[in-house]
Amino acid sequence: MGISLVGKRLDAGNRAFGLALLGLVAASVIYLCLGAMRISLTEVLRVLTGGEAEQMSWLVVRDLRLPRVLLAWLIGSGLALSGATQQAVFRNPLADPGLLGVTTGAALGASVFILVAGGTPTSPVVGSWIDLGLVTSAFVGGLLATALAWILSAGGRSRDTAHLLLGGIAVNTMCASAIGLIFFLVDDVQLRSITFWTLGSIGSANWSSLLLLLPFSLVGLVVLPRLARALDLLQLGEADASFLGVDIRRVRVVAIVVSTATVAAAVAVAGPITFVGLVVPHLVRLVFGASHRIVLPMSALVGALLLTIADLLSRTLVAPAELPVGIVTSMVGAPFFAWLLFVGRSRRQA
Amino acid sequence: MIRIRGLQVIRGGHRCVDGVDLTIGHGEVVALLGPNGSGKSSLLQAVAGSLPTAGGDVVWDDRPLREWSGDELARKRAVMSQSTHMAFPFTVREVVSMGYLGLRKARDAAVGGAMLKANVLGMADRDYSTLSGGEQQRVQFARAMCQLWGREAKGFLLLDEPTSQLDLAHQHRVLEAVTDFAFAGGGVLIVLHDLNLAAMYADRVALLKGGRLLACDLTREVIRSEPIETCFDVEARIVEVPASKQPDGTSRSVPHVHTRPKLSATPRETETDVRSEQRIKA
Repeated sequence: MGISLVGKRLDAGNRAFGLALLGLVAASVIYLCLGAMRISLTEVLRVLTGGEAEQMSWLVVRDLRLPRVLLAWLIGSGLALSGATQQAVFRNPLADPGLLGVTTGAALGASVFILVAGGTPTSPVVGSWIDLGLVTSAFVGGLLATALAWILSAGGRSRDTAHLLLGGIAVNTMCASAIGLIFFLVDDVQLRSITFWTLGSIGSANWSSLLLLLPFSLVGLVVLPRLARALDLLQLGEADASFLGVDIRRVRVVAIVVSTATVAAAVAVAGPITFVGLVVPHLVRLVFGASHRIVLPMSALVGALLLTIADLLSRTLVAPAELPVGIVTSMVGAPFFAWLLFVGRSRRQA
Repeated sequence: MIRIRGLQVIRGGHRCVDGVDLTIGHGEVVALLGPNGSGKSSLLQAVAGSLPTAGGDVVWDDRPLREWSGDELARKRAVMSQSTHMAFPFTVREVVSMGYLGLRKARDAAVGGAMLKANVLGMADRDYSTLSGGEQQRVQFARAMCQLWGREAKGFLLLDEPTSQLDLAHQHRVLEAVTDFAFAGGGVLIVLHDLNLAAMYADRVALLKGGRLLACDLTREVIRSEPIETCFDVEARIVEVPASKQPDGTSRSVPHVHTRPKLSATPRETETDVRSEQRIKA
């Protein structure tokens, strides 16, 4: 009698986790090889292992592509993991990391910085340096927006997360209108900078931006998967979960604070990259079921894989020019999401 | 033992439980009956600890409810709410094992046993959200049983209309599992709408109306025509019918209620009727 099927599913999860990890490594090696300058696999491996390699290969692989692919890992995993967490907290399959205003808030923060500091001399898409002021103001903007949504909804007091969602909608609208206002105040160069920022790109990646993001990503990757059981129980409803001993308020606060900080840091470094946080958890659920012990780690891994592939495409499709990776993820994500809605609807009708 | 003294619950400015005294002991099934909005669910939720009380005490094993931690209570009592919707595709087995709080090595036995009690083993790997309402109800019942698996002697089940969507056979199956639980030493507080199921399976019956306790006594004392007519505003007639065979081979009889609308020249205006009339005039 297949009584230990929960366990069996976990075993299948372990195997798939290993497989996806392998895929991530393979995709990343390909990522290091391809681009405006093609580098052979042996040369890449020589650079990675610290062997003899040409000066140019060293430069391209170690200083440009390696930090960039690692940044794609951190951002992709952070967005997908946070998306899965927020969908669970709100018990809403359409929840997205931007729901509580973190993305729009970061965009407002970035716009304000560009307005105050003047046009950035290099477009953020091709710039190889990191603008610490831009990153900081975007990060702070994202956190402030979510904090405002939390305060508006009296998030801690109310048992109902619907208030929090409404608070997020209010803050998103406020930030969007403020950005619209800034569009009128800036000159053409600044407008171009803001627009490029909102497309999302990890083209400015280097080791320092990676180090900036690393602590936030690590906290997310360590803390959020530990909430798996609580998030599972939360799906029974907040009252039923509390009957099973879940401290609803603590789980909600930890989940929202950690996922918001992770997303705010990712958006601050790369700009808004849409659909990874929304679609990856669904993709994982379609294959592995809804248990968060699988969904959370698997989302992180698949998110990293997806963003690595998307950024590889963004660098190679129109080489030597570059598409913002946010456009690539949207192009892949939007049709997939539409398909998901369609399938979901026909399944419900059947 | 659960002791409820002078319990008051206020929801949305309305006092929906108003000074209720009730005890639920080990080994007994107490049924909570009453018309819609009489405060049954609010009483149950307040006893479970999910609704704040506006007055009075709820005492679990000589310790006030507020002194219990969430974890301690989770091992003491299981609660089944009226309906549970899941947004994500969990399987039936996953939903039932959400209730399990014990050691990992005993989990499969507890989950399987609880699923057997609720007769949901056959749908163990199906997506919970695709089940019918009655099937979902049985899964939630299994989850509640799983929560107290192996803890029956010290545990309490708080069930809010666990049979409202079940077919006849499953109504009896679930309520037999409930009486088994009480036989093993557990206490049960169960909200029911079906007077005859209460008559068959409850040891004691509490009648609620307008948030107040109208009657609370042994089942046979409460399932009589006067208390029922007062509580539900109907005409009630009681007959004795034989219940199922007892383990010792004898057959006992239980009261059976027939109801019909109250015959009166002027239908009594209920509070809501008056209010809606005023709204129309305004």
